[in-house]
Amino acid sequence: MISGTITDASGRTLSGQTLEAFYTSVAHANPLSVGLNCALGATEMRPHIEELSQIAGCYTSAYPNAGLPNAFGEYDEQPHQTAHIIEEWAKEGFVNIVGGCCGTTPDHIKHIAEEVKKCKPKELPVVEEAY
Amino acid sequence: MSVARQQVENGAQVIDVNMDDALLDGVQAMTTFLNLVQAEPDIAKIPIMIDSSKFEIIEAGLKCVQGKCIVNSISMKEGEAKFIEQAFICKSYGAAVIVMAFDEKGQADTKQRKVEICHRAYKILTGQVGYAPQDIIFDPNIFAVATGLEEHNNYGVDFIEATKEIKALMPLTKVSGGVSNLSFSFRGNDHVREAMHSAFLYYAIKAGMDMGIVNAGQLVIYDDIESKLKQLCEDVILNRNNDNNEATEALISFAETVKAKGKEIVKDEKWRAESVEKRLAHSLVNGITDYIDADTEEARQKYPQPLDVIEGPLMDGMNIVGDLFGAGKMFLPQVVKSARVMKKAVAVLTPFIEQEKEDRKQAHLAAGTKNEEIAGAAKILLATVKGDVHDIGKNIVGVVLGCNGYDIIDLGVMVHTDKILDTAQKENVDVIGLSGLITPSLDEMVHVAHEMKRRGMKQPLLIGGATTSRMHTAVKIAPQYDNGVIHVLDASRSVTVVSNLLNKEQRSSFLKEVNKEYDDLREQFLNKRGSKILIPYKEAVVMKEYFDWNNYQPTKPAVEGIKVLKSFDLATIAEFIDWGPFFIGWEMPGRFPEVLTDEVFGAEATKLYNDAQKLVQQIIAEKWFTADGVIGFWQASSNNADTITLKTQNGNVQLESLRQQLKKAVGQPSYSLADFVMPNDIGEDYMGAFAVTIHGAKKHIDKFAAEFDEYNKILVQILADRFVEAFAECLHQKTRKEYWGYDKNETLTNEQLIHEEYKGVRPAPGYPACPDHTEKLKLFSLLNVTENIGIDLTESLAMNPPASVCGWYFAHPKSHYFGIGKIDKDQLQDYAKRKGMSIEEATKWLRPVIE
Repeated sequence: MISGTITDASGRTLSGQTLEAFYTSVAHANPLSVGLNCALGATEMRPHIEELSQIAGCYTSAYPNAGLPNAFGEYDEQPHQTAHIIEEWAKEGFVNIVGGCCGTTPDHIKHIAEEVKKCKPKELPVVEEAY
Repeated sequence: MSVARQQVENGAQVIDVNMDDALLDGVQAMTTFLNLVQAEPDIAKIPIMIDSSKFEIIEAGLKCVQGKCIVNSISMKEGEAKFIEQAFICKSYGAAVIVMAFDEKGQADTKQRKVEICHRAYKILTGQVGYAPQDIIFDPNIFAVATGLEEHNNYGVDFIEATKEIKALMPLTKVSGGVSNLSFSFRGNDHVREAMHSAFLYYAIKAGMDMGIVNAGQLVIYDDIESKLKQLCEDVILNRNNDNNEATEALISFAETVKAKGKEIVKDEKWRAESVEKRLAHSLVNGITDYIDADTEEARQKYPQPLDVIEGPLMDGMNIVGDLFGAGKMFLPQVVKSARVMKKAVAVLTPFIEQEKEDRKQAHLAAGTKNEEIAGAAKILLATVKGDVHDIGKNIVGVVLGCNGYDIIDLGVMVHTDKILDTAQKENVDVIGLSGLITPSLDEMVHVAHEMKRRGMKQPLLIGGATTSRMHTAVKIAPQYDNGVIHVLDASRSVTVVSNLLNKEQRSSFLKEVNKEYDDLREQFLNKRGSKILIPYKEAVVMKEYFDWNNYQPTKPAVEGIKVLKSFDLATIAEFIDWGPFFIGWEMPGRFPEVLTDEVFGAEATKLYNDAQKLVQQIIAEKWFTADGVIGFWQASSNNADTITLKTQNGNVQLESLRQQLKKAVGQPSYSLADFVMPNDIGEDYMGAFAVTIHGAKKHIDKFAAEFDEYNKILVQILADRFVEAFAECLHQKTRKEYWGYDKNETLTNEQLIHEEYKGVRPAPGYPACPDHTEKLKLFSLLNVTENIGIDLTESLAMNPPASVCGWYFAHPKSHYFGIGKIDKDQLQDYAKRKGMSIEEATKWLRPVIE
C-alpha cells in the first residue's frame, strides 16, 4: 500500500512530481492500493483523489487532514464536516480505503466510517488482454 | 548540463544519458550527473534514459532517478541467465527497458532474426520476470547503409519491416532505435545525414516505430528536404534502384556537391534583445547562468553604484521569483537555481563594491575623518527550532541571503533555544532567523522570543516556515520580545526585510511600521475570534495568572480614602495629549507625528494640527474647560478566583471580574483583573479608582453649532476628549509618583506614556478587560463621583459630560492590559450569581462578550 502527498494547489509532490508521474513511478510495485494523505483537507484533496481514481490500476486510499490548519496550527474542521466530504468521494466511487491524517480525531474516523459504510467501494478497472 | 537543457529546449522527449568513456569513472559520473539533472526541473521534467554498456553504471543511475526512467539497454548477448538477472533489477526500480535485438550469436541484422530475438525476450520478460508489456521497448538495430558493401544495403528495410511485425505480434511494446547509425558513412556531412534521418523516420514511424535516438536539434522536416536529396535518400534507405550500389553512388556524389553548412544551434534567444533589466530578470527566473556575468557588468556600467544593481534589477528579478514560487508556478529547485544565478551576479559586483569601500576608507584617511563603516558583512544566524527537522525553506533563505552578501551562520535543524541564543551572543550576530514546518514549532518560536527578552537581547527576530503566519507572529510571538519580531513570507522577501533591519536610518521606521501592522492584526484577531474554542470556566480559573506575590511588598497609598481635584491646571494636562487618536478622530489614520508628512493627507493634517494647537492655547488661556477629578484607594484582596474585596469605611465592597475563556496555547494563563490583586490567603494589597471629566465644552460646541461652524465644533468636541484622556494620563502619573506613590522615581516621556510603559494599569469599566458597565455603579458610589465632580450616569451607564473617563488602578508591575474575548454560559451563570443578577439581566449587560 503506497500513499503520497500532494503539497499544495499546484497538484504536485514536494519534489515536483505530478500525480500521474507519482503513480507511474510506483505502479511497477504492483501495489494493493495507492493513495494520498496529509497536507490538504478533504476539500482541497478532492480533485486529486478524483484524478488518482481515474489513473490508478489498483485500489485507492485517501487520508485527508481535518481541513487546513488555522494561523495557530490548529484544525477547526469538525468530524461531520470531514465525513460529509469523504462520503461524497465514496458515492462517486473514487475510493476503497478512507481515513484521516493531521487534525483528525477518533471522532472524525467514527463519523467517516458511519458515512461511508453504506457506499460501494471503487471497482478495479479491467485491462483488456492484448496478447 | 547545458547540452541537456538545450536538447529539452529543442523538443527532446527523453534525455539519453551515457557516461561510457575510458577516462571516466562511469558509476561516479552517472551518479553525479543524474543528481544534478534531478535538481534542474527544466530538464528533469522529461524522462531520463540511462544509457550504458556496463550494467553497474545503469544500476548506479537507477538509484538516482525519482520518476520512471528507461534503461538502455539489456540483451541476451551474455545468455538468458544474465538477461533475467538484469531485468529483475530494472523492474525493481520501476524502470522501462530497452531490449537490444542481440543474442548469444550476435546482433540481429535480418528482419527474421530481429523479430525472433525480440519475441523470445518478450516471452522471458513477461513470463518469467513479470514485466508489463508496455514497459518493454525493443531496439531492433539500425545499421549503417550506403557503406559500399552490398550486404548492408537492406539494413534500413530490415529494420522497418521488423518493426511492423514486432508491433503486430506484441502490440503494447514500443520500438526504438539509434537513428544516427544509419548515416554513419556520411559523417562530416550533416546536411545529408539530417535528410537521411528524416526520410528514414518518415517510413519507420509509419511502420510503428515509437521513438528514436536523434539529436533533437538536428532534424529537418521531411517536407523541407529538397526533392532531389529526398529522392536519393529514400532510394538508399528503401534499397530501391540500388543494384550495384547505384543509389548509394548517386547519394555519395550528390553529397559531395552540398557543402556542410554547419547548421547554427537554434535556441529561443529572443529575450536577449530585451533591456538589461529584463535580461537579468529572465536569467534569474529561468536559472540561466550563461550570460549573467556580461549582463551584470552591463548593468554595473549603467547604474551609478554597483550596489544599485543588486538593490534594483537583481532584487526585482528575485521578487518575481518569489511571486512565482508563492503562486506555485516555480518549485524549490528552481528557486535555488535562481539564487545561484544571483550569487554569480553578486560575485561580479563584489570586487567593485569592495573597491568603493576601500576608496571611501582611503578618502577618510586622507581627510582625517572617521570611517564608520563596519568591517565585514552583517551576520545572520539561521536555525530550525527544537523538535523540527524541516529545513528546505531555511536553506533557501540562507542561499538567498548569502547571495546578497550576508554572512550566514546556519545551525541546522532541531536546535535548542540555548544553542541558538548562545551562538547569537557569542558571534554577535545582527539578525536571528527561525524556521519550522510542524505545528509544535510555533510554540518553540514563542519560547525563543521569550528567552531573547529574558536575556535582554537586541537582535531582531525573523520568523519563517510553512506553519508560521503573520497572524500567529503578531498575536503570539511578537508580544514576547520588544526588539523586533518579523514574519517573513518567503526567501525572496527575507532580503528586503534584512536590509531594512540593518539600515540604521530605516530600521526604526520599518520596525514601527511592522509593529503597527501587528497591532492591527492583534486587534482584528480579538474581534474575530468569536468562533474560537472556549475552555470551561473552572478550568480557566485554574489557569489564572500567578504573580510572585510572596516577594511583593504592596505600597500603602499616600492618599487615604478619597481625594477630589477641582479645576486642575489645563496647561499641565495639555502636555499629556496623545495626538494620534486626534487624527483618527478626523479619519486620518497613521501614527503621530508621521501623519503630518503623509503623502496623501500630510498637508491637510499639518493645517489641522496648527489649528488645533492654536485652539488648545485659547482653551487654556480663556479657561474654556474645567477639569475635575476624583481618586480613591482602599485595602484590597482577591479570592484566587474573580472577586476582589475592597475594605472601605462603609464596609466591604466586592468587585466582580470576568476571566478569559478562549483556549490558548499551552501554559498561557487566562487573564482576569482579579489576578492583579494579592490573593487573600497571602496577604492584603491595595487598589484604587479614578474618575475625571471636562466641563465647559458643551457651551462652546453649541456656540459653534449655532454659527454653523462645524469645523470648530468638531475640533472642540475632539479636543475635549483629548483633554480628558490627557487628564486621566496625567492623574495616573501623579498617582504612581505621588498619591499612591508606588513608583516615585518614574521618569517617562509622553511617548513612553502613550506606549503604556508605566507600571500598573488603569482599565476602564465597559472596556475590553472589564466589559461589564454595571461595575461602574460601584466605582461611582465608592468615589461619590456624581456629587464630587458632577458626572452623571445615563440609563445605559454612559457618562455625561461625554468627555469623562473612569477606571480602576492596579499597581502590580506585572499587571497589564488585555481583552476578555468571548465567555461561555458557565461563566455567565457564575458571574450573575456573584453579582446577584438574573441570568437575563447579566446577559443583557454582557451580550457582546457572550459566545
